[in-house]
Amino acid sequence: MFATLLKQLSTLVISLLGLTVLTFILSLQSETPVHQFQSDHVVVQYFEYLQFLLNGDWGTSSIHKRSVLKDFLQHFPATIELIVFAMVLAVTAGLGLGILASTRRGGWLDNTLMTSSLVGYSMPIFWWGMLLVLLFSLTLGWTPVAGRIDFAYDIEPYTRFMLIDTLLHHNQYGFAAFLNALHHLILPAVTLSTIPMAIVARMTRSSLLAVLKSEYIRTARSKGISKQRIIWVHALRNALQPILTIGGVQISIIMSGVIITEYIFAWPGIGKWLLEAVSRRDFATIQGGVLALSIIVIAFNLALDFIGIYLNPRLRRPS
Amino acid sequence: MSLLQVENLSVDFKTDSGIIPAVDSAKIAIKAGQVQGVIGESGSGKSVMALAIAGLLSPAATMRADLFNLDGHDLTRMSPAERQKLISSNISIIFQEPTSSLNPSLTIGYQLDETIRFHGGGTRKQRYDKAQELLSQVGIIDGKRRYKEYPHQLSGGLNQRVMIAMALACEPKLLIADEPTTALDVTVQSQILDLLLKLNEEHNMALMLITHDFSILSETTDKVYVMYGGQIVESGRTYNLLSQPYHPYTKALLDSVPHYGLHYKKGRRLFNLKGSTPSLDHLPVGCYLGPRCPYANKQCVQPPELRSLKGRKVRCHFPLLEEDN
Repeated sequence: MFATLLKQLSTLVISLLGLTVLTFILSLQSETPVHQFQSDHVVVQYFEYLQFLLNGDWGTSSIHKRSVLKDFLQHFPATIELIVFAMVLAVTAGLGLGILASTRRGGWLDNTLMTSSLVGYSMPIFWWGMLLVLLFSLTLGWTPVAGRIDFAYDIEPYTRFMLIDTLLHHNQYGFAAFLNALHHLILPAVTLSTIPMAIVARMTRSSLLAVLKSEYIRTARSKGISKQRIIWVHALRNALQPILTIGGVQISIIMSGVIITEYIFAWPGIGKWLLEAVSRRDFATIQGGVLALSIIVIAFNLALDFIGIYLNPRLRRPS
Repeated sequence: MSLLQVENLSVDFKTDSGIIPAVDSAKIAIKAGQVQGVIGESGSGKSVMALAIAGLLSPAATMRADLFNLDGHDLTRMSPAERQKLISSNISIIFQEPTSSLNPSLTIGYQLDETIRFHGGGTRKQRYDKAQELLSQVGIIDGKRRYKEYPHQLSGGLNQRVMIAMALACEPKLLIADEPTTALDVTVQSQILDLLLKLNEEHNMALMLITHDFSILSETTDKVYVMYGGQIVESGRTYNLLSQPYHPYTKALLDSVPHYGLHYKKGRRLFNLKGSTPSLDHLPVGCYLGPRCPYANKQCVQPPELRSLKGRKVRCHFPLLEEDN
């Protein structure tokens, strides 16, 4: 097991180095240099660049002259909030719908779920987000159109996580501010989670169906174990492996989806910050943002790998 | 009084190319404590018949039976849930591939404990003791260690022992063993067979041994069913059936087995039945063996009935007599 972990960590280091090479090349294209290098040789410059990164100097925005890393950390909590919420939504709903479809294989419910998941999967996110706003915000008036919270609430950004900050202002507003923030979160999270949810649901269904055909499920049935127990205890644990693999891909889909989603809902996060930087050719910001987002994607995949190892005794305890 | 009595058992599979009859009007009767064998080539329907009896057919299969009595209960008059409950507490089944028949993500102990919990139960301590007792009964010495291990950490033979322990946890009156030794080494094969026979004696547990190996049946079983193309073509007491087969297919099967030691005859050529097993969606007209049978003639286009002959059942228009053997 220790060897497997070490192998995973070494791939992490290698992919991180690869990433810095890419962002370094990007920074060389900038009209105004991101960092001041002492050497003229490009290879030495790369190592200088690594040193800057490790020291926390990710460059300064050419537009508003602020530290890129500081800016990133300021915008990051809003994005994290949105992504975590969307991910939880996608995984729970996706797993649930997939299980539901697989237990009713070939029935009308299965067919309806699979057809709608195909629609959800092929829907462009900007179009889907606007449709949702049109229906739920403008026509029905159920949800706010944009933003993280109503202007009526004056929330001091302690942690910059709105859900936590509103709870910290509990003596001022009670739970009203927290619920208002949650209310604002729903529609962007639904928009962002639609595609991953559809993919997780389809994957869950097909993976579960394959496992349910296996011989050990037949053994479990022969012991007289209930259907629910067979699904939840015997089948799902084994079906989870391919779902986790697909889940790792979802985070990069979500990362690119979040940029558009934040733009649609005027969500003050990384996506909006990056999009502005792109339109204003702010190379330092683009470079820092891309690097940070990629690190998150890689770290997330690494975490999923560890969960996969933990869940699979054949990897955890080789014979 | 039979423990299990099944008459006119048929199993059909619905596929895209039509309905496939996997088992065709089989008749089985097993007395308590009896050891019976079912023999046939791959695709002869023997495994499907076993799954049908154990109530484990896939949803694509439909099963019919005129009579299905188990331990004095009429299963044809029960709801599917009642039937499954009665079957799972009376019949246990073990399979050909022990390692893939155990859940790879759960420990041996968990799977054993779960079975005990569903059949009897008791406190955690009682169940653990029972599990250890079962493991030692099936000849696993270091049960305490194995209890915590996963199937991939055990050999095929050990896993089959675990499967048998799990089967025993249900305290079944009938154990169906579907080719229990096919995937194992020869030395392990005989150990597993000995274990099954020992348990059969100690627990008065009837045993239905499904195999394609005559040498296993000849030493162990009281009665044998021979299957071909989803039908039982011959059945009778093992000794009589093996020493003088009435059905040409039984004879062909026997003649294709090499002999060793005392029975070895120099220059004897192994018999080789022409053609191959018919595919179940393209069965021949009349007798299913017809096109391959060296004794077939015009009458064999009429499907033969299973009929009694000298205390045996044979499905043939021209059963072999003494002089043919």
